[in-house]
Amino acid sequence: MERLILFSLVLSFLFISFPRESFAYNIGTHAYLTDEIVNFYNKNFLGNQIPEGFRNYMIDGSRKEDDNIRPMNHFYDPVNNVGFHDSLLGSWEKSKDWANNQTNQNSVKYKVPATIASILSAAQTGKISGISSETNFTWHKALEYYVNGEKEKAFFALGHILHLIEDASVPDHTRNDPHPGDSPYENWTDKFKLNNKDSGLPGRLNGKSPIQLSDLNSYFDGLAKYSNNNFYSKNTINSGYFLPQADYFRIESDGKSYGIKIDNEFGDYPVVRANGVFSFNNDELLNRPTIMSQYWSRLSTKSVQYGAGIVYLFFKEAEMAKNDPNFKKQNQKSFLASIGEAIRGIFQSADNAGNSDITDTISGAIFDNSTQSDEVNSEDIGEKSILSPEKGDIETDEGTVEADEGTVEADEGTVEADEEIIETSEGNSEMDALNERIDSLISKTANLKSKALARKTIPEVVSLKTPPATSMPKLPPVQAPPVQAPVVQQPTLPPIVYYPPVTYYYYYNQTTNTTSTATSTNSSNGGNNSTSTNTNATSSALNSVGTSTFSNTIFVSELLFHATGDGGDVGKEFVELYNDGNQSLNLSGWSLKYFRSDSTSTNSLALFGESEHTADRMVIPAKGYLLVGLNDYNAVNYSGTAADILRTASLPNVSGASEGVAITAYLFDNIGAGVGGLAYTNTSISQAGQSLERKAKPTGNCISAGSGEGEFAGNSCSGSQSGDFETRSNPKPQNSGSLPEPRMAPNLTGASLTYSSSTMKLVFKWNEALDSMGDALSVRYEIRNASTSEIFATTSAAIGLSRSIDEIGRNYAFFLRAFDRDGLGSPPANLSADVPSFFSNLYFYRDSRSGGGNVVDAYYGNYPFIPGSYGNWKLVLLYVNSAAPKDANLIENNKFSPADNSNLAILSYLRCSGDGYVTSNKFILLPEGDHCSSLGGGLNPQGMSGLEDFHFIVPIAVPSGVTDFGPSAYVTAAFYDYSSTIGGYANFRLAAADKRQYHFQSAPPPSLPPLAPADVTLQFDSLHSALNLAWPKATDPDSLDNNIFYEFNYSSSTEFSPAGWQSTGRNLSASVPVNFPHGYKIGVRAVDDFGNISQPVAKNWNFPTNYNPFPHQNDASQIVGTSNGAGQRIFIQIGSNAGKIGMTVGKGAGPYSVTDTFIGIYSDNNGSMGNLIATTTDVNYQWPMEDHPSARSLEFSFISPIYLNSNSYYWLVPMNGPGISNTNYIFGSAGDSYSDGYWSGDMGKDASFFLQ
Amino acid sequence: MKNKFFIIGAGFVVLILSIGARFTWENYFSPQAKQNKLFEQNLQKYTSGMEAFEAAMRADTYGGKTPEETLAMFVDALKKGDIELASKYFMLDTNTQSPDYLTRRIWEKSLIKFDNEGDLREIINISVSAKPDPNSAISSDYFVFSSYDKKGIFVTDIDLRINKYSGVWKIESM
Repeated sequence: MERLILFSLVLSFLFISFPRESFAYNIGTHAYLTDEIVNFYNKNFLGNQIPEGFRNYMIDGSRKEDDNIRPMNHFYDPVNNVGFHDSLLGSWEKSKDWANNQTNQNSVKYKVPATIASILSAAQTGKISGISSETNFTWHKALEYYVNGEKEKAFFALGHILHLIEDASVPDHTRNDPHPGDSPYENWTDKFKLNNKDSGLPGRLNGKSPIQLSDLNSYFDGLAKYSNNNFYSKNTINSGYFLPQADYFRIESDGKSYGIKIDNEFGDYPVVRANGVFSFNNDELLNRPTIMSQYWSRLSTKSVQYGAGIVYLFFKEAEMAKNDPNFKKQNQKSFLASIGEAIRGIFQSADNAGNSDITDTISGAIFDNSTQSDEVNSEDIGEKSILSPEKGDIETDEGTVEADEGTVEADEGTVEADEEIIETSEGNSEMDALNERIDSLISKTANLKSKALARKTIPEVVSLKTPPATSMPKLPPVQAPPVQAPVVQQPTLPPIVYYPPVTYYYYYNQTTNTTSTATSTNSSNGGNNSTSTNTNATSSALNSVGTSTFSNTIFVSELLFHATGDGGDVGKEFVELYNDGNQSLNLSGWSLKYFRSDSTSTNSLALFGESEHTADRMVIPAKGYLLVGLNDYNAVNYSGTAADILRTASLPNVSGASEGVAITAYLFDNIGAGVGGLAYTNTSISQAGQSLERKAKPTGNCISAGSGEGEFAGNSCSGSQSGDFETRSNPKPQNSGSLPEPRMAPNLTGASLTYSSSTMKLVFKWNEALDSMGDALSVRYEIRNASTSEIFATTSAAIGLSRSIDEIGRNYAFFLRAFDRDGLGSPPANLSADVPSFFSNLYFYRDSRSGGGNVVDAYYGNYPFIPGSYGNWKLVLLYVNSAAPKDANLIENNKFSPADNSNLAILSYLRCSGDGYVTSNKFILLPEGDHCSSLGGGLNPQGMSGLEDFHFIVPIAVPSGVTDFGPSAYVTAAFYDYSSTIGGYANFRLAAADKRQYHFQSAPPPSLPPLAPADVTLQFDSLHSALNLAWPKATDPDSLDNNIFYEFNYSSSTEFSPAGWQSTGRNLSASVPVNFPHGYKIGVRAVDDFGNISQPVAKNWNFPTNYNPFPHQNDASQIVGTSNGAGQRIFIQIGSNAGKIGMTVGKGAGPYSVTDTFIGIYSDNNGSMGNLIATTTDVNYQWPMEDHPSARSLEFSFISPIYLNSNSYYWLVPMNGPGISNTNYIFGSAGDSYSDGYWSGDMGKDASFFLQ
Repeated sequence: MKNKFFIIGAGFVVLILSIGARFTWENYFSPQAKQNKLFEQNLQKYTSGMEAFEAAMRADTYGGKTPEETLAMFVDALKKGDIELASKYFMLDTNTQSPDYLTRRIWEKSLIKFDNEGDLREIINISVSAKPDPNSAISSDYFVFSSYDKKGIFVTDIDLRINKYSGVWKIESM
């Protein structure tokens, strides 16, 4: 014993001293979750609450499950059905097995001193002192404690189980991610402890119920699948598991993009964070509060729901165990076994203690540590002994200590109460009351049918779906009823009485006609089946011939005697029985034997219910089966179908020397009456591995039970029909757990298929289907491709699923069926969905515009028309005369070239920036936004300009070796979405390939004309007697607005002359000369690059009222304003009154000024200036002496208008006023006077006059 | 009398042999024995694996005592073109199932690639312009710098985490 202790200490040192890291929720978080589980359980089971005094035992147990090396068994990957396994850290038991594996938990390897201090008070610890060295905290052990009345220990052990289920809610634990020290989820949840509770958790649990499942394994499966399928761990993002997948991406308020998962229960949530514009190593991340808080809110809620369900299950099973004599038997070891174990332990410890490697590690430290552990007090209570990065330390967390202290104090408050309970335990103690309440609960729930329990759903695999937890019954406090008998469903014997002699059926081979030598008298017809046939016979060997007939209820329905493959028949032989009656039957005492035609001896195969075969299941359900496995039958060989009765006897093969011998397998009832059988010879099967199966007889005629209508219609073909049996190449034994036959197929209704363009997923939905037993959990749904019949998807216990697709522009057709667990399927529901291309249309044609060539003209809906998750950069590749391949990724530094680029179309387009027009691109890079991005950098120089009107037109080159495109030519497309930047290069991933073929056409499709400019404004330029036209830019519905040309027209009539349209190119203005007194019609129209012409925008125009149509002297070449009185000669076409004379002086080469000047009108004398007719008033105005950059005008008024005659010449002469003595009327600077009418260097453009 | 001794002796021998047989079976060939063996193998793996982990983490002393300090050291190394040094400011890969476990190969390769393509400047600019984003850290062991461009478009986050074994801050992702 000392050596054993020594060995334990050795190991304890080993465990305590080797490095450890975090592998789970912090133990404080476990304590908190367990506390919440107790609260939630008590809230839902008011009449059966857990007494407060037991709460801390459960909490402490849940904390201490993390002791030593135990956490390595806290992993369970439900996808691969394994525990933690890793080439570096070893392979460990999955948690759901660990919870039941007493052998492993009892192993001496785990019997090392605890390193996690207890939160229990001394008084409380005393009540479980007997298990201070115990390491077996399995489910069974907890039940055993409970049954034995050791409640504190029971709850302590139950706390260990709750720890395991809590860990099943941690994605790292269900995704095989050991994450030494850096699990974002566990680091984030570390804050939640008893003294820092999640205030939102009670609210999330409102309206929810404990999850109710039939057994402990189902709890592990359910919660592990939920956390595995819907949440990531750090190192398993898009790695190792298909799920989860973000349903869509969304940019949150922080400007960062998150992958969002649809959640109909708690609301959509971010499941992962995407990279930004720049990504150094393309890591998608989890470690954001935005994500972690959403993980925790769901997983903690589920953890509590499942945990409370487990507590309920515990009470239920404990009460059943109390009344189960077998339960106690299982816990009693034989004396010899105990001796053997003791001897083994001695030798084992000696063996281990002798291991020098381990012994060498012994030091005083182990005793120090033991001491520390033993002496732990409230201040020493640490939560991280296994989490500490420091060797051998029991880390103290002050915050936690406070919480635990609080708990401890509370416990101390309850110590007295507990003691009182114990003192009064002989009477009606609180525990007795609890027992009574639980007894009541069990008795009330005993009649709940198993299917009601089985209806609890495990989240389905694809879309996040909450288990539809059925509300637990709220049980009121009840009077303690008498203890009920064990809840065991005893079969009711059918009202069938067996009287010997019986008439029974057996089969013989017609070829060898060996039946006559068998143990019965052949009295009826033989068949003509080539292998075996049915003969009605009466027994002579076992019973005398009589008149009573056996009610034909039990059949030998399938038999396999000669298997194939490695190992021969071992593990594969069976005899299947079928009950055609409507009552279940207990076949205890029945037997199965066989006879040889060459022998008179009887050979026993199985006697049902023999005392040494306690595991026999002998009740054959109504319309159900019972399976007798022979020759070490192994369920592995038949999809897990276990034998109800398992024996080592074997059915003989009839080969070699035995050829021709008939073997008759025969069933006898419990009084020895023959019931039925089957004879076979070497010719009964055509090849090894085939079974013989009785046909179905659903409606009077025997039909094949192997497929079609008879496949699930039972096996009751009998009587005088020939060929009652058939060979079956894929044997399919059924057992007592198989569903009855015949039965109804699952009722599949409400099936639909839609396509979600935002997520690019096919969305299948249907109503929950029930099998013939009313069970939904086991119903499997199968979706097959309608054209190929290949399986597209399968799922169980779901009401829908979605699947991403990467082919568009095609129809998807499927048929959906619901199958019960034994394979009976509903009629197919045909489903179909059209998945459009990202292009609303694409035209591939010869360009009729100037320059010719061929173009691809692609139309789309809202931009970006390629759905994506990361950025708006998109990529389109076109392929000529071939289907677009589906290359998963294209990378910028490879010029976005797919693996096979031989059929890539060569395209031309104008780039957003950089080097302008490209002529030989093999891709189209669509920019962010529907026009070129203003972000610059990165991909922008490659981006395509010219996206407008929901389409783009790009020239496409004729491939080398091809003269031109013809009608058979076509293009296809592949679409890509920006995914990340790796090493400075953009990386695109496939969005979809378009399966449509867009064929070439010789002419463009009809196109629409542009819209006319919205308006045209007319401004009269009286100086030049011209109208200035201006209009806004026109638009075109289907071609680039920037390519629109404009034309104007004017006419003095009411109609435009067709030939009068003049182009302004892309200018938005024009000038039209107008002659007084005509009115004009002015028009502007737009012309697109395909020659389509808009309607004109037109206006009528007339000269202004009071317009004085004097000519404008635009040409100042004639001398004006000189010192010798010379002026400008003008011609008056139409006589009119002149009220004003305007003088415009053009910009000159130098500064000038005008001072005290007026204008005189002179008559014309054959081209020379004649007499002064009138003068204007003096303009005492002074332009400053400065450089005049532009023309400037002055007006000179007559006191009263002067009439000027038609068709006459006059002279206009600037003259100096009285204050000016100088003969220069306009003064220039630097001696450059205006006396000659102009300044040097600007001759002819210096001054002009106009009349008004 | 002689026969009696002989019978007793034979019985004793049989008893010893039986005990020996049982011992041999249960310690070397029984399922429990095999499970114990597997346990020991796993324990050995676990122990050596975690020791290697801790040793590597303790030896990883490149970095500052604050996140800002580590980022500045990283930028300085990049400015000097010292890729080897710059890569050392990244956290060791802790994915036990990765071929790069307890190395910084991924970061080093990426830095070399950026350097070959003349894009180190981009990393420097981002690192210099990134601002602390306390709302993005999940605990005090983490620190996040966020980088946005002039138009407010999110560029990238730089995540740092403290190496509790060596007490320095390490760049975890960028």
